Amino acid sequence: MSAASLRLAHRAAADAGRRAAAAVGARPTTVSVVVVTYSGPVGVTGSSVVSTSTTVLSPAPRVRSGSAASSYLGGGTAAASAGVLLAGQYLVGPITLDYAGGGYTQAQLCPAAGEDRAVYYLLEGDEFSSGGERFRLVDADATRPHQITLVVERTAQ
Amino acid sequence: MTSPYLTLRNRLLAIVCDARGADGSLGADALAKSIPLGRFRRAQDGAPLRDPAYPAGALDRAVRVDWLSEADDEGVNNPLQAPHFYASRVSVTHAILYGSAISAAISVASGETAATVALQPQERALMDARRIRRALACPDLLRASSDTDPVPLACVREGETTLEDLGNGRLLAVSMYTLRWQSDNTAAGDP
Repeated sequence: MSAASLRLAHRAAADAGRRAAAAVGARPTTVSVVVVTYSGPVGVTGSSVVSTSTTVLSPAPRVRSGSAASSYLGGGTAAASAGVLLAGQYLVGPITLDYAGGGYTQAQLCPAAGEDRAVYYLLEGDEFSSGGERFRLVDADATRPHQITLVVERTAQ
Repeated sequence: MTSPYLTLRNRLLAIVCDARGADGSLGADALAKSIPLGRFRRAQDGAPLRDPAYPAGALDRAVRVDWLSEADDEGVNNPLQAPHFYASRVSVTHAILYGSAISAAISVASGETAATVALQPQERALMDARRIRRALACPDLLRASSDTDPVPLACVREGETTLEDLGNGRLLAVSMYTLRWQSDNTAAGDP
């Protein structure tokens, strides 16, 4: 078996383990990758939403809290409770890289934004405000052979 | 009563972001100095443009208006007379995104190529500042025959437009203006 085939087999095995974790309720956060396409530049007067594409990651990945920085775009539970505006970072993953039966490519997880395309990550679960909170991509680490981990930060809601 | 400052802010942003006068309805001079729709956009959610978490995709040519001070204009207003005249300092800040790696997020005007202007941030910033100054200083764009209270009178750039590089391909151009306006002294000005 070639190294490439072995790598895909390992990804399938890793994904099975991650599905098992999600199946027993160990992954309480739902993560969606949302791409919104506008008729013109984002936020310009007269520019409207043309389409919205939402990819709900399956299996639900592990989500861990990371650092946080003071930001006007902060919010969430601490803001509602105490007026603290922190833009929290979260590590999303590991997420299995693509193989024949599942996983995701880096391009699927980190779609390119543009003048008329906005990309955000919607995190929903106990940690987040009702309806979920929006995050932007800060980093994506796909150097490991089987997985990718995203670092996201709270952004405009 | 709407805050006079909100009314004045909306007028400034209508000129910069909403193509006020670009349909020719305010006359030839206003048309010539108007800014086309789509050139500039309001700061997203009113966020400060220098916030590192500000989304890059909504940053290029985003504009923010900040009131800095208010003074009586040309001496002290007589409390027994109306209207009163004020001079308010206001900064108009716009952001420029630059760098080849993020050129896809640049909001190009017709005639611009993202890959090219991505390497010309200072030129874009100063030309945009001049375009904004030209429009805000135009009396026919600033005023409206229906204005009652407040009435914007003149908006003049004071001093320099300064550029500030925030790093990460983000540049701000900050221009200081003095907006002169009048207001009815009989109104309490409550929200």
